[in-house]
Amino acid sequence: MSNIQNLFTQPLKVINIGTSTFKKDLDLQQTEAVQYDWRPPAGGNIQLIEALDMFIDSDLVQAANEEAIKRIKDAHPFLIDIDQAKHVIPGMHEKKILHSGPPITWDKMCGPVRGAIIGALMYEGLAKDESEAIALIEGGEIEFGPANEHQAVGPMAGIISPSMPVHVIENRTHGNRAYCTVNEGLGKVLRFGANSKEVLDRLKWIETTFAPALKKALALSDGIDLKSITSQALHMGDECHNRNKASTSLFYREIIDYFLQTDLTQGELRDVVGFIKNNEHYFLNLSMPASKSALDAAHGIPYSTVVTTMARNGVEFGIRVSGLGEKEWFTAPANFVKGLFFPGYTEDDAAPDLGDSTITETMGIGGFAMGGSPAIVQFVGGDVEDAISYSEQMYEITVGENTNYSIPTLNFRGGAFGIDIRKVIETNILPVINTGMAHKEAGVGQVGAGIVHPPKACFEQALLRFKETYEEGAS
Amino acid sequence: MKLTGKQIDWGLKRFLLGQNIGQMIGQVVSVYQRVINIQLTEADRYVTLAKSQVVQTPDMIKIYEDDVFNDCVKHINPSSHVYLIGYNTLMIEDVVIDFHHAELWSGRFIRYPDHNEVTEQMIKSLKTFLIRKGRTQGILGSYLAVINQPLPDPLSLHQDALKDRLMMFKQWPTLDVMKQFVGLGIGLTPSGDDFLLGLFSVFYYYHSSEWQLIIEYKDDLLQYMKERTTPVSYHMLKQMIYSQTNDALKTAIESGSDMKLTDLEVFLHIGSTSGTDMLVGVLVGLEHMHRKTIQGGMSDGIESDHREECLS
Amino acid sequence: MVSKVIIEKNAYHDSVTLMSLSGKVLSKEGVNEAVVSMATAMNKELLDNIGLLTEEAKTATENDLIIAVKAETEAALTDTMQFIDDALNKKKTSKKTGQEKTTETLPQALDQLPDANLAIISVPGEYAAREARLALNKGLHVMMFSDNVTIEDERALKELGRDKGLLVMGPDCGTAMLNQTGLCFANNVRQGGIGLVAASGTGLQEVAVQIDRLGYGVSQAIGTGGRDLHKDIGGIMMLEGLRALNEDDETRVIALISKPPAKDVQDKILAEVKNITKPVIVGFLDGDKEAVEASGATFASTLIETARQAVLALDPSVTIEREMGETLTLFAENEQAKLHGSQQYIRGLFCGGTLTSEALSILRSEGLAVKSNVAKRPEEKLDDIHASTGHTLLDMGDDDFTKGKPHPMIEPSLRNERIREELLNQETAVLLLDFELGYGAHDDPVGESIGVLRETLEELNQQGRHVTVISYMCATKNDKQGYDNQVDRLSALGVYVASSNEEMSQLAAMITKKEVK
Repeated sequence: MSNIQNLFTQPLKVINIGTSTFKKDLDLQQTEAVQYDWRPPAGGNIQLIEALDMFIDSDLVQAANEEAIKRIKDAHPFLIDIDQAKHVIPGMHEKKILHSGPPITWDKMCGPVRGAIIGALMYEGLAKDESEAIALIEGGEIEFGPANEHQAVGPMAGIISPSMPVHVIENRTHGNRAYCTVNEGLGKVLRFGANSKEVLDRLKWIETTFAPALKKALALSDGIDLKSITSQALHMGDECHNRNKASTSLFYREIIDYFLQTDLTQGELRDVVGFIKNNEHYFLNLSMPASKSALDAAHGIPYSTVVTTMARNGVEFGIRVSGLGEKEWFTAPANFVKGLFFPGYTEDDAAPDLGDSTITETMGIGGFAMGGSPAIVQFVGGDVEDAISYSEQMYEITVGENTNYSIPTLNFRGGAFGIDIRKVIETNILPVINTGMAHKEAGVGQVGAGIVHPPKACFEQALLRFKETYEEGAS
Repeated sequence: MKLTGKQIDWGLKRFLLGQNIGQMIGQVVSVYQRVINIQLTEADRYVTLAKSQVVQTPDMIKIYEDDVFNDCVKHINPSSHVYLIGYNTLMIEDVVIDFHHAELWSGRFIRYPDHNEVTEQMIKSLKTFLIRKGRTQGILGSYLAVINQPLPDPLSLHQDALKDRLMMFKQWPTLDVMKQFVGLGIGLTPSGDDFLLGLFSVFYYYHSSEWQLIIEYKDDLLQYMKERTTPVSYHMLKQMIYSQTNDALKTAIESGSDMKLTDLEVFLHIGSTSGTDMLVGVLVGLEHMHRKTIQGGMSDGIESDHREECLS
Repeated sequence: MVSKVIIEKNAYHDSVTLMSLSGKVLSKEGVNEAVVSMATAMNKELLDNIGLLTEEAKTATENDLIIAVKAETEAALTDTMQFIDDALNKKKTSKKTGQEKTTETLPQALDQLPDANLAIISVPGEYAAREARLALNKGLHVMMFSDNVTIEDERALKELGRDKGLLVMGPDCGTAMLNQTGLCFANNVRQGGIGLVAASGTGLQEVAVQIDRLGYGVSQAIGTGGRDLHKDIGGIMMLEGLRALNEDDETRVIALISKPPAKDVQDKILAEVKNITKPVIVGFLDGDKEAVEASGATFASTLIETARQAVLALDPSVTIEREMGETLTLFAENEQAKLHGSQQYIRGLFCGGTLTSEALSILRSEGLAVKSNVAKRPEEKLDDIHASTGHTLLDMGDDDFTKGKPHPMIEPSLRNERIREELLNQETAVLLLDFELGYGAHDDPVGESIGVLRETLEELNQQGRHVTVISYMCATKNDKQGYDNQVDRLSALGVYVASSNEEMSQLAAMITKKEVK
């Protein structure tokens, strides 16, 4: 009763939900009001609304999510070693090939991924040419699996074959590890599906010269602190997915001293160090497994609705959620990227969204940190204000703010992290991703870059499955 | 939101070029209807962001989009951080200020006259203008009282005090007397300070001995002003001591005897009485210079203050 | 002689404001000295010289503003200080409310307006209940303009609201006036001592407007939504509203407005009325007079009567004109003279549903047989809403007419076709039209129909025929569309603008009855 009396004696302060004409009349009367542009929750889907209502205020879910983001934030990844995949990646064997994105069979794979697999088989010496490679695959000889299910991640095609050297990242807070190949550079490279002699030769060089050298250098160090580099790089205009200039430079600065202490000849040293120096995206292949190691530590918390993986295989986009199964993927057809094309290429040339690099956005960097990386904006075809808006929007769908990865242009606010599937459904806001575009044909390379969103269906399926799994015990 | 720079002080642009991109370079200290003041962190300077029709001053960026500025004013608050996010781009909250193509402006007086002559004509036109159109609520009221001109209203407390000082200055044009004007009067830039701005600009332009004195005791004078008046006034006078001033004053003084009515009318739109107060300073300065000339002649390059013929 | 010195820390007022403020303050009666200046050393010295340098002023710095006033009397001083405060602080509040960002989620909206106390909901019916529940759970009072909400949901929401002590106005609530603010469709009504609780939007508007016309005002006007008095809801909100107004200091008389409720609900409400200390007027259209009076309340059978009784309860000395003035009688006779024998009937095309019902009730009491699309009595029900027969009153805002189209109060042109039809019909003697002004309504209701009126009346004129057009404007002089302008344009066409729905109906009856000899 007294609440109504309170209302009569206070100034009216109104939230207008729906038709904005009512707000205009409130403005005329100088009444303080906010316009809430309402859209049907969950796209109007009744089942989803039910699922949402069941868990949106749940204390169990809230607590589980807090635990998840605590783990992600506390994780501390270090680069400790580099070694061949077959020696370090659990479950890896001589005839196994890992790929990016959710599980997929050979017949469904897209051009660049096939090209890369063929290249990998040739590199391994299992096939002499393309036709032999295909015969091997169609004969059922080769086992495929998502890198993400093997504590690994790979950019673009993301192909990891047994002999390839992979960076070994250790999350010293929780003890788990993550793996990722060495970034080959730009141009004709395996990850875009190229498999010419040049590509294979380079891969061999990485295996026989670069990796052993880096291994020696790392052995002398106590591990390179990737969390610290990422944190600094975000203050230097990188977002650590498409812009890695600063982070690569910082890494170079850290590792060079150890290289100088090894017994490499001057020639070898120059080659190896030059390889890092000339590759602006070297750090991407460290940023990704660093994020992976943090997110893996947060997977498997009952009742948590935090997304622990976002990945694409060129055909489908898949996500995994902490409170649901390790191998439970929620997939839907991947979107096409919207952005700028390099001269000579158009929309028709692009492959759909591809790669595990969205693990960075899952971590709260990459596209989420766009607001602090205005340079990326020109590259992906937008305005500085747009970049900032995107970053700000992400706070609506995440659990917390990571002060370790703060964004200068947002007054050093901690970056949004811990994507919550409930909030994505409730607000209709999808996570934003900055990414490059591959040519749909194998081996051509990158044709542009831009912004893409995951398909909403992934989150919808995940929420419905979450409801099925937890509705008995819902609070 | 985006604001595009229309005109920028070259000294400011040069300063910003030397800063690191991504850095916070200052904080908003005050927000007014036509102007936003920013205190720089690395230097003792006030940067002003102003609407398109404001008279240009040193350390100011004028923008094109007045209506957008009005919106910005509503949600930029004092203590908001100001960032340099590009070689020619600033950011405050969600407002981006791009001055890539802003015209460069300099507040330095460019012309040095061949002979420093202040004519009676100049003084007469300026005086007539002030009597006819000047705003009397500031130091003009005091000046008119001194020359026994009829006034619409009785003098206020501050005007009375200013009148005393004007009379003192006429007798003893010393640094100590000039200091008595600092911080005195109403308005955000007290009338006394605006008066001094006008006065100093004349001293500077005509290479008077008073100017040598000001330069000699510059540090002491600056410290005194910093403690005794508002930050806006302080920075305005500081810039003058470093030989730079606003567009209106610069134009008016440089035109010498060619001073046009339109040049003078601009002053009526500076602040409420600030512009008029500045012109009073100019007038008093010119009268002072002229007095020195007629008293003993300047053809030998020595000011008459130092000559025996000096009568007062 | 009294004086006061206040310091405004870190003041951001530009010179022009300060200057004009100084000037205005000095010219105020009883002010001897007023100093508005920045706290520089020199200025402080001056203040000291006139004895106004307080301790606080001494410690003020150059960023602070000193306002010092010396006045003849304490009263002049307080007055002046208030004036200064208003002048300087009005700017500040307008700065804050200038934040025009729209939000996309409820948490965002609450972030922007943390002390929000009311949510107005106008989303599609199937989602409205959910939004209302979310708002109530955040402690907000709720007004639901949306309709098509299930009765179960409405009950659950109102019970939730009652438990939390929050208002749930609606669903299907088009009008409310709280704290002198018109919400959704509402008129700019004078503030005063009469509190209203209504289960009808236009009903509330008409009562409030008539109270205003009598020279009195409204304290609070609570809408309950059209279904509140349904047996499955039980009048939850009307009861809450009634109790709240009883506790409200500003309310001295309470009036309830609705179409007659189910018996059980009526009993519940009248039982509550017995506990109310203030005078209660129960305006149940065509309701049970005896039962109402037995509870100690005053009964009113029409909207205008509710307004009159409320005003009389507030101020018994008021005289209410009930007789038709002489000018009107003359007007009626004039009009009759222009009609042909075949023209016998009244045709009313209304935007406001409750106005239709009220007109129906009044015509019935004048002895006319009327049909309507919103009639409750079986003999008054219209068979075909697209074909008028005899005296016909139509609520053009009823669902049957507005399927898939906007309501005529927002989009008046819907009536226009029917206006033309009825005017050209040989049987029509009088055409009745209502216009609603105020917040939420169309920018120019008269303008939307003036074209068709002018043209059709011209046509009739050329054929040597005449139809009387009487209109009523549900509005106050202060409504944003401009009352006088709206009225003038109608008058220019020879349309009579009545001062109430009652007058419009009675005039129509008078004109047509004489014909039926």
